[in-house]
Amino acid sequence: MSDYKKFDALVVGGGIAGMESSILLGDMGFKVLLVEKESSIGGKMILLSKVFPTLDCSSCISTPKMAATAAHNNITVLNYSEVEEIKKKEDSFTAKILKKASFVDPAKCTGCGQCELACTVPLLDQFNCDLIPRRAAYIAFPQAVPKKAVIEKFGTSPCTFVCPVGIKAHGLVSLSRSGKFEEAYLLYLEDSPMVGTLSRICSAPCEKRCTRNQLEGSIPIRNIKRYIADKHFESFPTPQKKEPKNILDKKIAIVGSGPSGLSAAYYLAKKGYKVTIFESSDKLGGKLQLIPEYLLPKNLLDRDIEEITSYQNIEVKLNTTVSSLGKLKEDGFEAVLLSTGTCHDKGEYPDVLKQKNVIDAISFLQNKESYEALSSKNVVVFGGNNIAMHCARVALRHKANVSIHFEKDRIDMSASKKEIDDAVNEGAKLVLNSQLDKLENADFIIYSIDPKPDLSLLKGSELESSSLKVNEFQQTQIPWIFACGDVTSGHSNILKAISTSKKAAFYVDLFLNNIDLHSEKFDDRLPAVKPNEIKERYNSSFPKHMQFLPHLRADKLSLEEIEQTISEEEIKKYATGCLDCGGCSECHQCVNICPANAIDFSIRPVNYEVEVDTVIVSTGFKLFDASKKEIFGFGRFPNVIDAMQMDRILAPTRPYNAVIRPSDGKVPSNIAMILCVGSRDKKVNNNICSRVCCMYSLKQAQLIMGALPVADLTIYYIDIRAFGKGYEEFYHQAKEMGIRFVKGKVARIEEDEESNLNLFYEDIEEDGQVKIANHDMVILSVGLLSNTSAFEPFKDLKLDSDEHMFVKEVDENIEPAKTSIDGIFVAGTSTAIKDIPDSVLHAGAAAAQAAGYISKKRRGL
Amino acid sequence: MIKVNSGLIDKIKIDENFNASACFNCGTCSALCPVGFDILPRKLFRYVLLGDEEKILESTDQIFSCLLCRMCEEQCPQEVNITENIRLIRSYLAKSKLGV
Amino acid sequence: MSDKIGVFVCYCGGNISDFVDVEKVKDTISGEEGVAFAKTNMFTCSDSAQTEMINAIKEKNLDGIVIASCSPKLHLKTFQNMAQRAGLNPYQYTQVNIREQCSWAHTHNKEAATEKAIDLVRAGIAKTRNSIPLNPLRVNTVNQALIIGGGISGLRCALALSEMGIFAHVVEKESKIGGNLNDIGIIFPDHKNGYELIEELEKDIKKRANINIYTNAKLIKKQGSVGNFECDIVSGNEKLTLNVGSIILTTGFKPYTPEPNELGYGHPNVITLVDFKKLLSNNSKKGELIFNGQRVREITYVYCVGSRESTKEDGNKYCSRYCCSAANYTSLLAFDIDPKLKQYHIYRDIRTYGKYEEYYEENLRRGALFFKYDEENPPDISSKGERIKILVKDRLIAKDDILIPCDLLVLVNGMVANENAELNNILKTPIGKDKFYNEIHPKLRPVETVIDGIFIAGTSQGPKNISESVTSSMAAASKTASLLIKGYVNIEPTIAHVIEEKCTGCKLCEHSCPYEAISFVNKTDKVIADINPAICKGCGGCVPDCPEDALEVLGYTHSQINSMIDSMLLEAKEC
Repeated sequence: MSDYKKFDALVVGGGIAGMESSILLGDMGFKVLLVEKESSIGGKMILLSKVFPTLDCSSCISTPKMAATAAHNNITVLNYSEVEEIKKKEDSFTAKILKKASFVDPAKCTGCGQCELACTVPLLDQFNCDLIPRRAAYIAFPQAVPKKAVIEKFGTSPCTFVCPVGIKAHGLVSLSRSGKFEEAYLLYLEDSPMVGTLSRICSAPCEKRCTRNQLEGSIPIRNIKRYIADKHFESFPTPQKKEPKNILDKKIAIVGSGPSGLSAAYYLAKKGYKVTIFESSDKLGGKLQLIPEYLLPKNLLDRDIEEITSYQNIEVKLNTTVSSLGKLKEDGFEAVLLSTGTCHDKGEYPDVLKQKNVIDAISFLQNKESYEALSSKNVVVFGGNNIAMHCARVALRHKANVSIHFEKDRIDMSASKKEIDDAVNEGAKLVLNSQLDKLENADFIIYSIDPKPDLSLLKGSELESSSLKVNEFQQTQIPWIFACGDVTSGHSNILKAISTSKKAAFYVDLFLNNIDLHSEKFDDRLPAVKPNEIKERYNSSFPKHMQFLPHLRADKLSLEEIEQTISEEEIKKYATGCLDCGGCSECHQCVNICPANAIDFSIRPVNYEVEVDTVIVSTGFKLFDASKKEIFGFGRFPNVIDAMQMDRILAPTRPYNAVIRPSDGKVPSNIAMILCVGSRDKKVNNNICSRVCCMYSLKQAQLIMGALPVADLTIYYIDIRAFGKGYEEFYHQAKEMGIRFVKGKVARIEEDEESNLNLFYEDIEEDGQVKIANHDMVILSVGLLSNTSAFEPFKDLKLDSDEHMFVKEVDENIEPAKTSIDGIFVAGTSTAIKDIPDSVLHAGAAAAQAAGYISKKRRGL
Repeated sequence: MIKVNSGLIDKIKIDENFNASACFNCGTCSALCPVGFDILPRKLFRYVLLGDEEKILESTDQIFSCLLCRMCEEQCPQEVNITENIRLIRSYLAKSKLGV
Repeated sequence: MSDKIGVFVCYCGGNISDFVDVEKVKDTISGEEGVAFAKTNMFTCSDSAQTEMINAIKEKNLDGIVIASCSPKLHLKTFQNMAQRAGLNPYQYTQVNIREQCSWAHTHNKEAATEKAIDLVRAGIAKTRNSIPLNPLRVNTVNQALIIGGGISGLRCALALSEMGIFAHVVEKESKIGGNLNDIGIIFPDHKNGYELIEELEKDIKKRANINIYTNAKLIKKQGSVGNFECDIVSGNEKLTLNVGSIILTTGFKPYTPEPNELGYGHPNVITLVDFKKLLSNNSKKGELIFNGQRVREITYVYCVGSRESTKEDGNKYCSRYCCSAANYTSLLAFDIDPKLKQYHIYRDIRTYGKYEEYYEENLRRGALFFKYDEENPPDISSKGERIKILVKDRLIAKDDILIPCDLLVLVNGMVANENAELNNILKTPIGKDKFYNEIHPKLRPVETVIDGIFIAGTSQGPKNISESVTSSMAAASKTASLLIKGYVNIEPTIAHVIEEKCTGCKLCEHSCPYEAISFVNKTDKVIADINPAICKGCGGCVPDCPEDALEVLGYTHSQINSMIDSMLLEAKEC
């Protein structure tokens, strides 16, 4: 549909009334736009089992209407869309419509359902009254029109959103929950390399943002990642050689092979560029090589680096120092990425330290031969950063007596809280506000200051200055020279290193394709879901989960890794605590499996504006929430269900294959139905009658008796309102089937040990005694209430409502379907609860009103 | 056999608060009554509306056994002021029949 | 003829597959002569299955299809349209009913039901093999409608049609329009008098040039078919012929008249609700309700008079729908006149549905007293002079006998269908068991009848209140407009066909046609039968009457029927 169009009529809501009025107007030759908020039209009727009084299969009579609506030449159906605003414009109306992002291209989708099977996120199925789950990627129901998948995504999950590198944390968790660890490893690689390394040393901002952090404690995302990495490396000790399909004929030089340089090489090699990494030392990895083995095993780091260098279009030049940027250009490199990191300059040390037994921290970590000499010696580590902590803990492991000195307070130390605590717990003495010249009794002093960016390469070039400045695209003043990692920011952490390199790679790619760097957005993700939205979805009652207990090596002071990987079973258990905050986790299983390539996560909501001559509001009704009548135990007692749930259990596309009761799957043999739940009841603010409940109860009773011939069924009522054509006869038929009718509304329900229910009622007609009846399942015939969202599009225009919040008909006797706004009509249950034949008739009246209105307008009156 | 005598209501009714006639006979109140006398409260009100003074007199003990706990009133869908009505009936009985 | 047939067998979500082995049916018939493609579907009528079938037709160049699913009543049109969208002539598609006529009828023997389904599908394939493309006939429509009955439904329908640009003729048998509303008194919800509504409509009607009202009028003859009816009406002394595209029946209802002595009827103080309404409208004394010169203090209403009669022989089994709400509202009107009235309502169920519940509540609040009785134990009515005594077994006090004395007994009488014998004879309108007009499908097609172009609305279709009657009459106007506004309708080509070589002109078929579609013409050297395609309904009534087998219905030709029989009896033949 193009962005702006004109229609004769806008019909809001694609239930039976909306479809009927659309078809009538379409048959008359008017162009109709039908807007439906769900992904399929059909409203409530398509979800029903059979309909009264004919006991026709509801699907059988509504699917032809749905197909006729969709196939009609004069009707355009806009599904998964909501009308946001309707305004008057001269003598017609304009409507603003929002088509929600479904992330599926309907032109390509065939409705095969594979995405649904592959999806790893369960959500409650609103089409089955929350009786069973469905997936985030789903097709509304088997008879859906149009039968296209949609993916429900409320926003980016907070864990994914907060990751600086953009790793889909939620996706990893949802895949792990389903046991899809290899898929998780591959999903990870879509956004970042170095899975193993990050699984050990990442500070896990995702865990801090995890919604469960407010409850028992966050999902142990990093530990889940550990398992994913370890499992993959077990199956694949060496990586496969990788060769991208299209190798581009452009060369990029990357100077420095620390985490930022390696990551940049990875991103660019994946895109197909020919990358050369220049490393001045004899090993790749930069400062990562300094991280002690008890935190990051060397073979893991090596394996991660191999994963990157397995790209055949990456060339590694070790022991090679780049002295001139200009020479790189001459050698044919079209872009250069500086990632030289930081270095330490002994010359900057204070004089007092110019003694024999002072070692600088980084050299200490590099020279492992010196460790033997530490045994039983007093080692002072002077400094407050993570490097200092590493030094202290290495010394402890070599049996030294270690004290950590810092010149200020603990709060000024830049080391992470965990590192400081671990060092202290392992036996290091923490001395705060210490002074360098007052150190006593120190056999060795290890001195740690933050290293500074290594700008040696820039000597003599245009970029020489005290610091390397980059713009928002990680680009220096020289357009073909980019920079990322610690060399631009100073000593930071691995997350910043990788995230800046990802950005730099993105913009180098644009640069090399001569695309304006301003034109494309690096981070185009949906905004994070808000905490109160998540709370609302769960109705403020989150399911309980267990707290994470890490597995740690018992003998902490060994050189082996402290943290242990936990078992697969435990991983899955922890992963089940995930609340799926954002809905779809972007695990991409659907993308991988879709045979039509129809899934596109770059799809965003689209706004349409249309001009229409008339509007018909047919937004339907809402069911009474039986949990408001607490005394019936709906929501507490599993075997008390409401009538819509029962209708679903009886429907052809039912959730279970039989009529069973929820608590234990037993086939019920003694069922009770309670009428007037939520209607004719001032205590729940609905004193009027919902009109259809007596009839649908009689219908369900007959269907249940048909499905369970030996069961007993009792209906507790105040009045039986079988007033329409054929209804009294239907009531008679029900009586003849042996259904028991008791006049006496059930006042209270209690549950016994077998999950059966005791109903308290007064048997008014029999003998007036108060009785308690025991039943194994109870169906609450809930009333139907107004759907107040009908009024939302009317902000400037005032659409009158009646005392019960239905759309008001100004004169029901002479002008049915006419509202308080001229030119806007109402059809079906939006104006008052009615059954299907009355809705169809009312839709006919609305169509006549709309057609008359348009014709009159065109006659110029 | 009960003969309808609609004059009784006027004697009991002091003000509009006596709204026993709003009852539409659903039976919720009787089923919730913890005291457990059949006649409380729906049938009692019905006898009052019908004007069956004899029946009401017979039931004096039960009428005075009502705990006024309001369990019935909490759930009455027609918002009948059950406890107030019981009090008014008691008051009527006390004055006219028990010589109080 | 079709020799590349696609066969689609439906599970119908279990409705068929629970009782018939659908896969076996498909496997067995895929080898039949002419079958190029066979497949099963969970819901053949669904959008996605239809798209798949269209693709199959196009890709495999199918020239005929068989769909084995439910009754053609449900989806014949759906699948014909689908075939058309695929470029296939819709008459080379055959619907085989293996649900109503197989799976639902034989739920206890899956094996035998499967065998029967196979036979039925085979027959469908044979029929398709012998099918030929047919094209619908286009008949131009007249942009006018005839409305029979000038009550509120008929009048409002006329206005709706007029607004949409369709000329409306309203034929009313009485001397004035308004029907039952003229005497109905004050009506809910707006507290207006019934005739005020009629006056409002009349004012609007007078302003319009495209509505004609004929009083003292009735329909005496009808010819033609949908889109083009020729209706002769007589109005007073005038006779005219109207050319209309559709006919809408809004002939209304008549109130049930209790039989003598039924619940005391006959006694001067026992009246019907309808008469009571008139009394209330005409009451002039302030603060007092006067009946026959006397002040009324106690009124009793007995509900369901003439309705819900399940035990009475030939009784009205239906509920008259409007009376509970009307009785409660009337009781409020009476309270408005004299708040000190004592009113007693003796009911079976209170059916004040929807927001009419508020009338019941208000009535209770104002002091009306309600008693519940059973059909088996109706109230006993006796009288002493002008005082009425009612003895009722009140179910609300577990069958206690209650004696209710009163001044006036109002029988809440229901609605009964108008007989319209002459009219129904002319139009042959279908009538239901409840004697009201019968609609095609009560759920989804409440204003249409089996006769194309004839619609029913208002209380002629069944008891309903005023707003419901007006709603239904406007729905009938919508349906009429959707039919006529295009200017033409397509007539089904499945009509009778004369095999000219065989016809001997014996004229035996002339009287077998109920629609008078057969005439005789000269053709070269003989006189042969000739069918009027606009009138012929394709009922097939003439086919067996022809001694030469010269008549057949297109789409159901002799060769098709014979091939169906042969294929159904295939196993028997082989024995």
